[in-house]
Amino acid sequence: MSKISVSHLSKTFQSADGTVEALKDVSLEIASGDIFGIIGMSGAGKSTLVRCINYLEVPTEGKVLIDGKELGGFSEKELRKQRENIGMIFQHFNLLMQKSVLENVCFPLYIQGKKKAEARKKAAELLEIVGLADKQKAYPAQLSGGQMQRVAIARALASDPEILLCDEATSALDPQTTSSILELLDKINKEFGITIVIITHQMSVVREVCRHVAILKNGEVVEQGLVSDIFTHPKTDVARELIRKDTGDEAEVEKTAAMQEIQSGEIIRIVFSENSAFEPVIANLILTFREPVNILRANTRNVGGVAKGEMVLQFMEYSQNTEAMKHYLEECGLAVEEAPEYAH
Amino acid sequence: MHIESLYLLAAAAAPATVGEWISQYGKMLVEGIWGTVYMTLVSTFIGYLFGLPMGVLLTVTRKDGLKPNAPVYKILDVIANIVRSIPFLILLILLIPFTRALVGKSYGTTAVIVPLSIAAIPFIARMVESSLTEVDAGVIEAARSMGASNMQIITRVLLVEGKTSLIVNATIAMGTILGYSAMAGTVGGGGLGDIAVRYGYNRYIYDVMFVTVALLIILFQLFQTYGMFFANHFDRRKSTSMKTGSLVVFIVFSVIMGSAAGIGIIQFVKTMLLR
Repeated sequence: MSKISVSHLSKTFQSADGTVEALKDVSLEIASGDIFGIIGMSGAGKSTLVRCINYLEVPTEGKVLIDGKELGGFSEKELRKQRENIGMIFQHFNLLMQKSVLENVCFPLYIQGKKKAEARKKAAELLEIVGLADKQKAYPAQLSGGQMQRVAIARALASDPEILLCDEATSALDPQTTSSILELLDKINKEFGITIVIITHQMSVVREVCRHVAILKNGEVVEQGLVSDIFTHPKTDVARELIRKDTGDEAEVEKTAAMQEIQSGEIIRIVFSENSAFEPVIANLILTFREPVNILRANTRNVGGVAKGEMVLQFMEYSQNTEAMKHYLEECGLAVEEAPEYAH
Repeated sequence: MHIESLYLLAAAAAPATVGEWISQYGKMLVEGIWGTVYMTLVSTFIGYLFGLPMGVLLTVTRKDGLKPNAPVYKILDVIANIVRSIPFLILLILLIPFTRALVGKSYGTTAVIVPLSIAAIPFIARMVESSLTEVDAGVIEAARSMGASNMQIITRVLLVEGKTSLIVNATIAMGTILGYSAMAGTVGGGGLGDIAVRYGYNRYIYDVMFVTVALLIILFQLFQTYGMFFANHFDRRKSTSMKTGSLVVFIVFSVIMGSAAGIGIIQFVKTMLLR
């Protein structure tokens, strides 16, 4: 049974300019212990979707089941009890700025009516786990963004939840801090077996920690599956675009005019898995066909802890061997995709 | 002619030295200071006693509030607007029968507390509403995601996060009430305002009026400085470290303010009960 099951979910908002369909017939199955990414451009409905999972937003249609129990069937009071089982962290951390770090982590425990001493003991342990044992007495304003997010994570874990929802949790952080927060989430997932749902617009986040991903566009799920499958064989334009934009920590360089002149033939993107990376595939390709290829981009990416080589190649404009060369690459065990989106 | 002779009469009775001046007016001025402090603190207290819940209710029932409730909001909104649209001096006169029924008389400091409080309640409610609606919606959402009830959100999020703004607004409210209390002097309200009107306007003894005005300014400054210091120091968004000297001054002033408010409230309750 899935930990979280979202079926045929729709959400419409009434606004002054008429109705806005934020989600259209969304269905997802999230397994227990998974790290599930929900990715999409801004306005795709990701935040609405994640808020339906803990019923902060009540869906217009459809159901949300947690451990097989439907949230829509709960009373307000039962729902509050249920939310203790679902931790949540946010883009802007949403800490109490007037309370110390320790008191922030105690907050959910006080809500549940725990005694002060008991709450503080638990909070101190959690701050240890997130690596902020020495910041108990500090106030959020004295912390960096990454530290604030760690406090938020400790706070979300205070009620021993089985699910953790992350709403753009790394979007306000720099790449290094993002990585350290993702590592922490990964650790929490492994050590406590907490099911994590990550909402993001950054492919790099999904690539680094998620096992499964759903791609959202205009309120609809356009593609979902294993992250490694989607990375090697993106089926939709949205997926391809997200992968192309995933520059990780490499710099986005303005393409020069000279480069654009060279770029005229067909462009493909190839993905090496571990075993195919041993051979000098490109060198062999050139030797076999006696024809140059242009390497537009090459990179090694961490996809869920596995290194994958990614390369964008361009054939010569009037090449007769394009199809044969693609076939050759596939024979070598590489994933080959046409990638016109890289021509700019 | 008549007025001029009055003026001469007053001038003739004027004390020659500072010592004489103090022995002549000192007691009255000290009583005036207490009268003003008494009215201001007790009215602010009563104002918050009712204005704070009213402000919370306004915030909660707003369209984007925790529990939107259009009828409740509209009723409170209209009440607040009506009371606030009546000029204080007119409200003071308008409420005379009510004040008399409650306190037994319509003049003096204790009586003035009634219209002062009534004017203060909606004013304070609006201030509270504006402080609480300023609280970051994200933090409220975070609390909701943790399973907090609306009551818990009010006591543990809104009032906590809105603290600084609430204190700043309380300072403003106190200053306004101080001003109103002086205005009440025109109808025999007691306190410094009353002295300023009687001596300055009715009897042309300007030195007494000037001293009274100076005392009002000093009182206002004290309240204002104290309130702002309080708000800033306890704002955890700023990293503040207080010097021992200013801490001592702050504690001493807090004790004075606290006991003045306490004595004032006891005096008010006593006067109400013993009539």
